[in-house]
Amino acid sequence: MKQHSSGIIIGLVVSIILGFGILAGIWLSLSSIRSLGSYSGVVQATRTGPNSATLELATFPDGHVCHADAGALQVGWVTYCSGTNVQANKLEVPPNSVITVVIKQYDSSTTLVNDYFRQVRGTIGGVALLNNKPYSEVSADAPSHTFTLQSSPNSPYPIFVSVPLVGTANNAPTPVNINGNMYPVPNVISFQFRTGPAGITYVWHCYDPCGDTVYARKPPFGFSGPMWTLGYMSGTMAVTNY
Amino acid sequence: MSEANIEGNAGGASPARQEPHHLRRAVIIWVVLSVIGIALWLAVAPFILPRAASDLSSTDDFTFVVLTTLAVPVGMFVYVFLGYSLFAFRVKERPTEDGVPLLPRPSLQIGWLGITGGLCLFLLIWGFAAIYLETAAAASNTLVVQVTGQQWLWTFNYPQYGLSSQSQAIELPVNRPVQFVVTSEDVLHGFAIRALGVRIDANPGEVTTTPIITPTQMGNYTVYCVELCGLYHSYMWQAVNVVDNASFNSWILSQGGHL
Amino acid sequence: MTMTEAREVKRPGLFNALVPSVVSGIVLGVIGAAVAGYIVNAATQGGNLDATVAAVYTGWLLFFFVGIGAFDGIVQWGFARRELTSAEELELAGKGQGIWRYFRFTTDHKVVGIQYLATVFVLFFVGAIAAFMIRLEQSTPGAIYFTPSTYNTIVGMHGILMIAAAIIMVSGPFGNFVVPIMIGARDMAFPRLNALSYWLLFAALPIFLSTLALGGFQTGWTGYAPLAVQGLTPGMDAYCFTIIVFGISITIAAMNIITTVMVMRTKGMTWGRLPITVWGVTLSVLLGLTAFPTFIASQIMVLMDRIFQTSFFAASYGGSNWVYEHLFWFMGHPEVYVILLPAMAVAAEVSAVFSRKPLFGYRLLLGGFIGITVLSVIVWAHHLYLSGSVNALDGPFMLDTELISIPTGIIFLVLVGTLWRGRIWVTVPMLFVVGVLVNFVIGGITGIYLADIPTNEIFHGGMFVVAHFHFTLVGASVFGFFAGIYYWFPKMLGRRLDTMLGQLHFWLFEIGFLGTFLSLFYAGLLGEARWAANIPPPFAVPNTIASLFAILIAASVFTFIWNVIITLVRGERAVANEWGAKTLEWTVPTPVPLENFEHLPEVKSSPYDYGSPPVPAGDGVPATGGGVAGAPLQAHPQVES
Repeated sequence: MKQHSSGIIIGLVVSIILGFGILAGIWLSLSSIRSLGSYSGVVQATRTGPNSATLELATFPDGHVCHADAGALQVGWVTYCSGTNVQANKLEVPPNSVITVVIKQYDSSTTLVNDYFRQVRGTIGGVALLNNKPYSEVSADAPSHTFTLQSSPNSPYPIFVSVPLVGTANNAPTPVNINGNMYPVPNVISFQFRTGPAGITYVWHCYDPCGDTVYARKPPFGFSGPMWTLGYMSGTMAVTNY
Repeated sequence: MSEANIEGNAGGASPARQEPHHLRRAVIIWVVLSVIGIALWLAVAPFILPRAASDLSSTDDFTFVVLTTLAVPVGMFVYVFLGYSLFAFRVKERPTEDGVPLLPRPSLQIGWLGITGGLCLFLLIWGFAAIYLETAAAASNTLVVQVTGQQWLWTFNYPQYGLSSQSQAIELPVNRPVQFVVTSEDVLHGFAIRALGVRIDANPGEVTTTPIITPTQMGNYTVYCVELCGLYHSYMWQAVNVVDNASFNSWILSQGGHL
Repeated sequence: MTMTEAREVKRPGLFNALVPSVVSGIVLGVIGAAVAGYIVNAATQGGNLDATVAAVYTGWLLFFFVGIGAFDGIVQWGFARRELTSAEELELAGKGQGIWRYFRFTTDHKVVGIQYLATVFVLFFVGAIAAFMIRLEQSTPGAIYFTPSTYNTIVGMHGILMIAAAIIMVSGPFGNFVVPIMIGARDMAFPRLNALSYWLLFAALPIFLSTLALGGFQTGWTGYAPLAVQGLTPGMDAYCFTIIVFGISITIAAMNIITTVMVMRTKGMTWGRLPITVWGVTLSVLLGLTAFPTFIASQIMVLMDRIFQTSFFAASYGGSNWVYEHLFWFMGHPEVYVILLPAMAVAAEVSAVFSRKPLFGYRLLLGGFIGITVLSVIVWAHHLYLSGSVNALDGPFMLDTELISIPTGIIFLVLVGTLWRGRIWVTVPMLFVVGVLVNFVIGGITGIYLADIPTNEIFHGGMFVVAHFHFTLVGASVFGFFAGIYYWFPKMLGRRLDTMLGQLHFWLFEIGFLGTFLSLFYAGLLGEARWAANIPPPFAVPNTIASLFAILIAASVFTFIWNVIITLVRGERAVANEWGAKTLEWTVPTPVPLENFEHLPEVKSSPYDYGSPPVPAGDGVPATGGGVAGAPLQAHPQVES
């Protein structure tokens, strides 16, 4: 009987260790699978003062600058990143500050599906600057993308910012060279918003669907692909101290 | 399940000693526990259920309380008879003789079917009554709110005031009927406000409408998306604040609408 | 090695074992997949990923079955123009192949049953790991451990793996191994189809797991279009294909079981003397046969929308997402009864044996099962009350759904009545039957809440629904499966599972299960939505509690695995009639001989006539069916031989 019960105890311990081992193995393999679309680049806003910071982003019509090592399909996807080869999956901004966001917009326009996103919402002053000229609303076929920042449910400090990013002309010349890739002269769009206390995470997403160059753009097709994938047209923003 | 219900051979299991009246005991335990259970439930229910903030969710919560009250004796029936059997009729090791070969009389079967059928009928009548009450006609001052679900944000229009939501918070006036007209731009979303008893799918290319509800309690409630719609499904939310008329009017103006 | 006809060339032992077998099947399948994928990729110039992926899966399937020898019989029949000799049939059934018979296209129903059992364990295990990951992510607010898209894939994997496992968990292992013996047959009606149904399931698994390499799928197990149609990453195609293959496997198995039970019952085994397990399995597969074709059709339509840009479900091109919902739930509702019926039948079987009493109303219980089977086909739109579709039919569907509570109530009456005044031997199978009853009360009652429209309105799409179906699918059905495992393990694998570990397994599972899902009921009551990678803070506490209790469930899983392992390695050998039961499978020796019975038995009585005097046999001596060693119990099995 004694042998029987000590065998059971050893067996239980071994089973549990084995079980955690299997769990760990599965977790490691899941998180290392890049094809699940998750990238872990962090873009930090540059602090310009005790209560202010500047966040510089760029929207490219493809992934050559920021996802140069991606597979053949994904390298053609529209990408939001920092403009210097850091993917914009995770943004970081300081707490209790005015954040100035400067976005260099290299892509051409696609018509909005939902007119709600024509308006600039949630910024300080209710406006954004397009090449230094203020605007609060555009027509439905002007934006190329939107930068929309939204909160997690029941957030203690909700932030909502939505700015339509005006597109470049369809046949504009492409004189700008970034790492060997040619792009048109960008529209520089900037706006400001305030952050609250540290420790809260928000998500950002583009709401001008263009996501699908393979099939026609009508819903639901235009909303997939890069629109769905972290590091291309969606990501998170964390308010932290740094 | 007393002697009177036995059909067929009582075989080798006729007890010579006086068997306690198991059935009577079990029924008494059942009745007592059911009463206690119902009392406990009615006492605890107001604390368990979230606050109902509209006429519809009050009705729905009331239905839940009633159904649970009915469920207590039903559940207790199984638990009491099961528990009693495990205590009274258990043998420690491999049994040396068979149990009493009880079979249900037709009267028991018909009686059982009758009782469960009666319960079922009650539930049905209750359900149909609730559906009928929900399809009330629109009052003249019904507020219409257009809701558009898009991966992954709810956007709101108040066409009667010419405004659209400027953030992830909207306001509703208390004691005024409101109806939500819901659609989607891309895939299925589920528009749900638990406290107001509102829940309907947002379908692409179709417009669905909720029943007309009247918020009765001021407070802060939440819209969640209840139909899986992709990456940020669990980030799709909206705060719904039910406020008095004056606050509502000033909110309309602040959102760029007109009264 | 075995020689069949002198025509065949004698090959060395290992090669003979490997070809054809699962090894050659996998090798050829991979080659076929690569070739097909390459061809289609070239033909579409790499522009249609979904088409390439579908071609890969088709190539895999076709060549896997060539490699495993599934087509050998057809080819032989077609070209050699003769039937198999009986020696060849026995070889196909695994005679003389030792342990290799489990890895080949073996037709013996017992081998297929064990294969199903092993696969069910694997499906449950991987599904359980996914479940623990879900509870890990949901233990605190925020999508911390996994990104939301990874989490959605995990939720979908958990859902479909568990549903698939639950559908086949009783009808596969026990429906194959035990049911033919129970009805007094030597094998099933279509032995080669039997093997085919199993290997189709096996072949579907790599297809499904490949979704992880293809970007996962975002829709959860319900695969709702238009979300299913949307994604560019081909992980969704893996899901659709898996369903199609799995559906075909189930259809074949269902036809096999129904035919077997209809025509191969032994002499004297009338419909009224069939063990209740056989009824449960047969009604369940009949229901499945009715329900699964729409599931297969819906997935084919999703694949067509993805690959060929048809517009079944895309509203902007004239399609409708409601079509998908109806097709899916027309399967989805009967499917849960496909899961429930066999498990409840096993629970009834076990309760009769361990109370030493007849079933408290065999025909009444049958009426309940048949009532459920018929009604469950006409209730599907209760999943669609709030979809915007069928508004006019909400009332009628509520009517039908409420009606199902009546046959369900009959099940409770019969089970409780069977235990009442019995001689209850609380073995591990019996413990699990107690668990079934306790859990099914909660599961069934909460189903009523969801059936009634006023309460459905506050619960649909939330964790209340999740807790409800876990109580019915896991609490009732999986517990019924475990009752069956502990009950039939001695017959199927010849050894006794350790009782203490079995009891530990039960208690850890039941307490963990109750704690986890009662907490989730509460979360649903508060209004928490389903599929939430990011738990909103108001629901944090019930979710944390649920995750803590889930640790107990994890412990129970490992306890069970350990029990199985040590039993197989050094467990006590079981006797032929381990429990003193009266159904036919306990009259054959353990391990069961290849052709089950030396002489086909003749049945003279019901298997549940405990407490009745034995039916006199021709020679006046009641048989004890092979050795209830040392027990003073008079085992009067159904058959006198």
